[in-house]
Amino acid sequence: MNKKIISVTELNCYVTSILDEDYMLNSIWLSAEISNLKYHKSGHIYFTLKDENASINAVMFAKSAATLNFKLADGDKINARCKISLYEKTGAYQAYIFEIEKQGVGTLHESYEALKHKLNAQGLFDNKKPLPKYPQNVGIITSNTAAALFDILNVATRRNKSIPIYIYPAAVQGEVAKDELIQQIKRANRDNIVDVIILARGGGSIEDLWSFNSEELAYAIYGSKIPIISGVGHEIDFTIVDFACDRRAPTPSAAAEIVFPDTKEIYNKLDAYKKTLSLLAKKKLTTNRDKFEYVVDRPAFKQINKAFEQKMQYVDVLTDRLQVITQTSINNKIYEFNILLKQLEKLSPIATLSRGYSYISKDTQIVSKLADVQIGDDINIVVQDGCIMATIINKERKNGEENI
Amino acid sequence: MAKKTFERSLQELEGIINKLEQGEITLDDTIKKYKQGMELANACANMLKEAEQQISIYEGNEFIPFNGGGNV
Repeated sequence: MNKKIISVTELNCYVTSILDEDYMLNSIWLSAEISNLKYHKSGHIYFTLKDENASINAVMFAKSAATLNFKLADGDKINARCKISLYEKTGAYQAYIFEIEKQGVGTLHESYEALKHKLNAQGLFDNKKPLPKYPQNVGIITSNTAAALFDILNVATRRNKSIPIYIYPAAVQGEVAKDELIQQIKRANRDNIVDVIILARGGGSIEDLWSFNSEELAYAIYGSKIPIISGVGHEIDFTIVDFACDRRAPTPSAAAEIVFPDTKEIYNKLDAYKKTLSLLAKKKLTTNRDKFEYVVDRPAFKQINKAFEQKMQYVDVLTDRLQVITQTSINNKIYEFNILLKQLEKLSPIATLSRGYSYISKDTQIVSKLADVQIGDDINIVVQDGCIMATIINKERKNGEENI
Repeated sequence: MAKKTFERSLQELEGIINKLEQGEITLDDTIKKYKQGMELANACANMLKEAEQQISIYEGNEFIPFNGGGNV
């Protein structure tokens, strides 16, 4: 029988391959207690899993450790999903941990359902604030390195460049995530710059998204005066945050589609409005003109018009007549005046004088009888062109009667 | 801000169109409203004209321009 000699490396390599090929050992849930716990600064966690009778070394690499939503402690009773393989350097087989659940707390899904039920009963999912239709400033709370952020920015830039964006960076997984998210929600409310907040995170396992299933975070969202829309994970992922937010979008991009109104659509809308305005104004003008023409064309209006014209004509006739009457009456008056004037002239002593008569006055009194004057009185004899002064030398009564 | 927001202007414009659609205003008012509406529509369109999106990130107690993750 030939001796087949292999190296230790070859052995460990062989054993590793056997373990790795085993379907069951590739993903297995272990019930155990933690001991010898060591958080390494690399982010990896080393510990021993044990029960009353046995133990196995375990390692949780940083990538998986980041999904832990609680801090491990020696003595914790846990369920751990892991794969079993060999650490070739020491020949020790060990558990490579993917995820850990605390025992007694129930599964993540159970605790998620319990929290959802509790918060719902407390009314935390009511009182939804409406999102602004046309936000003036948009806030984004997410990791500043996450694909989710760039998805949102891409959509925003494509749809509407006119809206300024304010990014509030926060870790979106791991232990610090919950506190950072809450802090940024409060900060955005204090700043009061943005009028809507997108709370976003890319897709991941239920563990990855676990920070978004926090009761405290739900309360922070509920307490926000600024409306918040969630865009967490993929379409099928629901978190407590989704229920607590004022609106849920299935993905970060979808949240951006909802928040940023499309400039093209608005331009189209504005164009349509302008057309409507012109149309309505034109319609009003046409209606008014038609109404006017309609009224003008109606027989009643025509009759009124005719009557009006006739009246106008009548007014002309009357005016003419008035003129004639007036003129005639004036002429008559002038004629009458002239006659009167002539009569008056006949009565005037001046006219009589012009015919060769004269009158005598004494001290402005007309002398008409013998008794009016005494012998020796001075008298005035008024003739046509002047006055003759004379003195009475004698008086003689008619018919040769005696002197007085 | 004294500046009218985009939303307010758009609402005003929609209000004017509603009023005109009801048609129960005088011709004079119609023309006034038409002018006002056109001005609002143009003002709204102007508000959308931005060549580049302003993106800021909160960092070290203040907002600074965001240059695509290079700030980190």
